[in-house]
Amino acid sequence: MKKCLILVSLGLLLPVLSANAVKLTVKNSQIIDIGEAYHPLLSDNGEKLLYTSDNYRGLHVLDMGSMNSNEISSSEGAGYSPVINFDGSKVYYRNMQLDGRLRKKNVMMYDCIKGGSVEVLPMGRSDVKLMQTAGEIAVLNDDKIMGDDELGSKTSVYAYSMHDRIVVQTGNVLKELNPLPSGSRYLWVKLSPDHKKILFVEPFEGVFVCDIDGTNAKRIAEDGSSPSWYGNNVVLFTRSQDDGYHVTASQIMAVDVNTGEESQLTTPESMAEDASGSITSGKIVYSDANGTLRLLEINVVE
Amino acid sequence: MRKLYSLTLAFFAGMAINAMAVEPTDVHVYINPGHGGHDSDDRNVVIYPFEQGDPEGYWESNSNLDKGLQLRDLLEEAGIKVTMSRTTNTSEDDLNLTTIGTLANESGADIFFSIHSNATGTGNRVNYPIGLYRGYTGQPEVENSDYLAECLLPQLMSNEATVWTNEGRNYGDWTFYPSWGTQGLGVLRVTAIPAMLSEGSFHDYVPETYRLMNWDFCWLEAWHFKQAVLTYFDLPGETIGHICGIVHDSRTERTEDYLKYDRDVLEPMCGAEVTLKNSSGEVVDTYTTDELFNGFYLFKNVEPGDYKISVKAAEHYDAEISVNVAANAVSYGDVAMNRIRNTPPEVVEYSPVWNEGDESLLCNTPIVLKFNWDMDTESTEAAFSIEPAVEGTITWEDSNYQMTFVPNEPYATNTLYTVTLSTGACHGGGTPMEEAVSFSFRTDARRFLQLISTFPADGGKIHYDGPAIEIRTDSVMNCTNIRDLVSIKDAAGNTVAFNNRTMSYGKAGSSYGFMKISLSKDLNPGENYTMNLSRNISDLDGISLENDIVVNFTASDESKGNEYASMVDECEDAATLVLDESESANYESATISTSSTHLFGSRSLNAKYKFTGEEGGVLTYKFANPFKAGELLGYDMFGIYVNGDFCTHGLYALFEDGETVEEVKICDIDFHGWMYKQFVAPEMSGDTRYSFVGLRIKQNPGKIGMSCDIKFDNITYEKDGSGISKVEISGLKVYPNPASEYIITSADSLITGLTLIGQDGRVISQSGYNVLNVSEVPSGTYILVVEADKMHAVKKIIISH
Repeated sequence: MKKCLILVSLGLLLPVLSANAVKLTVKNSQIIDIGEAYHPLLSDNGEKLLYTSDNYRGLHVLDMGSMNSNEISSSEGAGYSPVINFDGSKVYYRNMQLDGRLRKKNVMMYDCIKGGSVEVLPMGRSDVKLMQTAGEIAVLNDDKIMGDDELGSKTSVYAYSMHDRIVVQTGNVLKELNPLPSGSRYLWVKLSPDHKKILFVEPFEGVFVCDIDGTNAKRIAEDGSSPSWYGNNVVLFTRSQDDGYHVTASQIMAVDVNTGEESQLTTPESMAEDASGSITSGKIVYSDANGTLRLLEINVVE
Repeated sequence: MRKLYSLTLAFFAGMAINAMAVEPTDVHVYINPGHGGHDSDDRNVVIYPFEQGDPEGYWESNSNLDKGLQLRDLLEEAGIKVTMSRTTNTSEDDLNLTTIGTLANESGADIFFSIHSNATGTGNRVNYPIGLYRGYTGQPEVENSDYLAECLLPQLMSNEATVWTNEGRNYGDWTFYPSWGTQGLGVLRVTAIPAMLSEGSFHDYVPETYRLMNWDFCWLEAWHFKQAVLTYFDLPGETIGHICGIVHDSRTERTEDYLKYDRDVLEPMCGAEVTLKNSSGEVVDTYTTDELFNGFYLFKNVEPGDYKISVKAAEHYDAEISVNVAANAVSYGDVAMNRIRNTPPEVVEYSPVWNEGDESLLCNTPIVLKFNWDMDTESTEAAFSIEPAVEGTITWEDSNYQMTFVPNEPYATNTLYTVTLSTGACHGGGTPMEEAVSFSFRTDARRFLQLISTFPADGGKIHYDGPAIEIRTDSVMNCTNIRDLVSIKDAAGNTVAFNNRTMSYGKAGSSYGFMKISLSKDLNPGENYTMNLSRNISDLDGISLENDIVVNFTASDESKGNEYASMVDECEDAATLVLDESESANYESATISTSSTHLFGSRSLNAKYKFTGEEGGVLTYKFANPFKAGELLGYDMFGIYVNGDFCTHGLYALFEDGETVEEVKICDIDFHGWMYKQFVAPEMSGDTRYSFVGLRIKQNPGKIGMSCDIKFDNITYEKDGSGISKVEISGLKVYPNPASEYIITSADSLITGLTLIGQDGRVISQSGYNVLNVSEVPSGTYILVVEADKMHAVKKIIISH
C-alpha cells in the first residue's frame, strides 16, 4: 500500500467558454504525488486510477479516495491499454514477454477488491484486444468475446480498430465499418458511453467522430492523439508538436463533438498528455512528459 | 553403436526443443521512415544543381522513405510481415511521434525501426552511423532494444560504398541527449516493443548527400537493415549475393570546396555504363551510374561465383575488374577510370625551383618532374638531359606521372646546372610534348660529408677493457641505420659487436656530428683491428662520405704502464687536487671528486667541468701536497693514467722551482677510456730543484667538448737514471719532450749527430746534425744519443703523436 500526498497547485488552467457549446471549467487542479506515473486511466466512477511507466512497464492502481496505491504487475507491457470496469473493481491487462525474440502476450485479470491476478489467457501471439465501453470491459481473442461473463459481457457493444477498418461488435456479432475512404487507418477507436457514436483517429487526417453505423464521419480536430470520451458530447485529446525527434510542446484539449469548438485545458508548455476523464465524478487526470500526474476537477456547462 | 546413435539423436532433439526456432513468417517488423513532407521538421541539404527548398533536391524524408520502402520489400520477400508508418512523403505523413509509437504497438510488431540520417549542422563534416534506443547507454528501458542496435551497427559499418570518417556507436538516448533528461526521443517514448532509431550516416557530408540521392544506394542501407533483422531473429540468410561499388576517375579530384575524405576526393563518374559478366563472359546485367555525382552502381541478386565488371565512361579508357560473389553478402568493387589522353603531355610541376640570387642547393638535390599524363618512360628518359652532364638514376612514381632523377655522385660544388626536357618526351599514348622545359639551379660548396676525427685514430690504440669508439663529422649524421654502416673487425675479419644500448649521437642543430658507441666485449691486447666506415654514412641532408674509410688501430693494455716506475699518488682521495681559481679562466663549473671508474685501487680522481665558450678556457688544479717537493731535476719521468672523453683539451703538468712555474704538455685528451701518458720534467739549468705542483687543462679552440668528464688514476715517477747519463755536453738542450715531429738540440759545441734508439736497443732513426725528424716514429719512450765535439750525451725522450 502506498500512501500519497496531494499537493495543491495552480496554473496550467484555462477557462473554457463557447457559445452554444458544452463548456468545461476547471474548479481545481492538484498534483497527485505518487512519483513518476504515466498513461493514467480513470475508472468511469472516478474512484480508481490505473497508471504505468512511460514505456508501459508495470501497472499500478490508485484508490482516489484513500490515495493508497497497489502494484498490479511489474512486467513489460503490463501498462499498455489495460481496461478497468465502471466501479474499478476489475482490471484486465496484458503482460508482454519476448520468446525467441518474438513478442508474446497473455491476459491477466486483477481483482481490485481482493487483490491478486489470475491468468485468463496464456502467452501467445494471437491478436488479443482488451475492450472497454462505458465501464463494461471484455477480452476479445481472435475476433471473439471470450467465454463467460467473467471475461466480458456478451450483450454489451464494443468498437475497436482492425488497422484499416473499425469493427463494432455486439456479443459475437461483428460489423465492419469504413467511415473514411479506402486506405485510411484507424487508431484509438472508442465507443461513446451511450453507444451512439464512435471516436477514432486517422493518423494522417485527424480526430474524428462518426455514428455507430460508420456514417456521418466528422473531423473534430486536425491533429491529435490519445483521445477519450468525457461524457457523450466531449472528447479529450492530446495535441503535441515536435521537431521530428523530440516533443517540444504538448497540451490537453477538449472538443465539443457537436460544434467542433475546442478548448485548452492546459497550455502547450505544460507538456501534458494522455488525459482520462470520469464525467460521473467530474474529474480528469493527465500525466506530463516528466511523469507528474495532475487531477482536474471539472464543471460541465451545457 | 545403436546406443551412441540414440544418445546423439536425443542430444540434438533436446537442443531443438530448447533452441526456439523462429520462422520468417512469425516475425513482424514496424518501419518508421523519419520526418515527412519537406516541411520545417524535415532536413534539406543544398547540393548542386538544386536550389534551397527544391523538392527534387536532397531531403532527409526522401532518403528515409527510400530506405524504408525498400526494406519493406526485402523483408516481405523473405516472408516477414511489415507495417510502415508512411509510404508517401507529404506533410500529412509527418505524424506526431506519439502516434507513430502507438501505431507500432497496435500493429503487433515485434521490433521497431525509426530510420533517419544525421547532420552536424557545422562546417566540421563527418560521416558515421549512430544507433539510439530508449534509456541510458547499456540500460535499455525496453528489453533487447540495445541488442537490436548491436545487430544493425556492424552491418552499416561494413558498407564499403561509402566513406566512414569514424567508428559508429550505439547509445541510450538519455545518455546521448542529456539536456532532454529522461524524455528522450519522442518516437521511442511510447513504444512497448524493442525499438531503435538509426542515424544511418551523415546527410550533410556532401559526398554522402549525393549518394543518398540514389535509390539503389538507399537499397544498400535497407539491405543492411534486413541483415540486422535476420541476425536479431537468427533467421537464415540469402542464397544469392550482390555487387556494388563506386566508379570514379583515377586521378582527377573534385574541385568543389566541401569536405571530402579518402576516395571521396576523386571525381565520381556520371553516366558510366557498367556491365556485369559471368565467368563465361556472358552479360548478366547492366547498370548506368546516375547524373548525381556519386558514381554508385549496384547489381542485385547475383548467383555466387566469379564475375567481371566492365565499365565504359566518356573521355576515359574502358576498365575492368574481377569480383567474387558470395551468398548472403555484398561484394564491393570500386572502378578507377583513367582519363583518355586527349591533350599533349606537359610538365605541370618541377623541382628544384631556383632563381639567380636564391640560396645555392645541396649537391645531392634530386630533380623531380610531374606531368599531366602518365608518361612513356623510354622517350621521356631519352628526352631528359642535364648540363654539365651528371650520371644518375631515374625512377618513376604515381603511375608514371612523376619522374625523379638522383645523381649517382653528388653534383660538383658551386656549379650552375641546367635541366632540359625536350619535346621528345611522350605520354603513354605516344603524343610528344609541344614545348621543351628547361630550368637551372646552382649547387653549394659542400659535396661530401667530412670526417673530422675518429677514436681510435688511424694507427692509434685503445685500451682493451670496456672499449668505446667515436666518429666525428662536420655535419650532424643521420644515425637511423648507422650501425649498419660502421663496423669493427679483428685481424681475421670477424665483426666485433656493438653494445647498441650505449649509442649516443648528435642531434639536429648541433654544429658537428658524432656517433659514439661501446663495443659489446673487451678486445685482445696487442691485436690489430679496423674501424670500417661506409661511404654511405650521410648527414641529415643526405650528403655522404666521399669514400669508404678504414681506420687501423691496436688494442693495448694501458694498465701495464711503466714497470720501472714507482707510485707517487694513487688518486683515491679527492683532496689530492684542488682547483686554483686564480689561475683558471672562462669556465662555468669545475669539480673534483672521486669515481668508481678506476684502473687501480677502488677509485679514481674525477674532474668534471664546463667551459663558457669555444676557446680560452683554463683550469688549474694544484696538488694539496706537491710531489717530490724540492727534489726534482730535469728529465725525471712521470706517468699518469688518464680516462678521457675525447674532449681534445690539452692536459699539462705544472712544475715549480719556487719562483716560476713550468708547464709541460702531457697530451691532448683525444681518446676515450684509459691511456697511460708519460711526461718528462722540464730541463732546468744548473742544480735547480723543483716540485711537481699540479695539472692544468687548456681548452683547444673549437666547438667540441665544452663539457667534459675525465679521470686520473695512479701518478708514477721514474728518476732519470737506470744507467742513463746526465748531461755531459755543456749547454745541451733537447726539445720538445715529448716530441711529435722534430727533436731539436743545441749545445755550446757543435752537435754532429743524433741517434734515436728503441727500448730494445734498435736504432730507430739518425741524423747528421742537430735536428731529427720523428714524425714517422711510433709513439713511445726512446733513448736519444747526442754527439758533439767527440762527446756523447744520452737522454730519455718521449715521442707522442
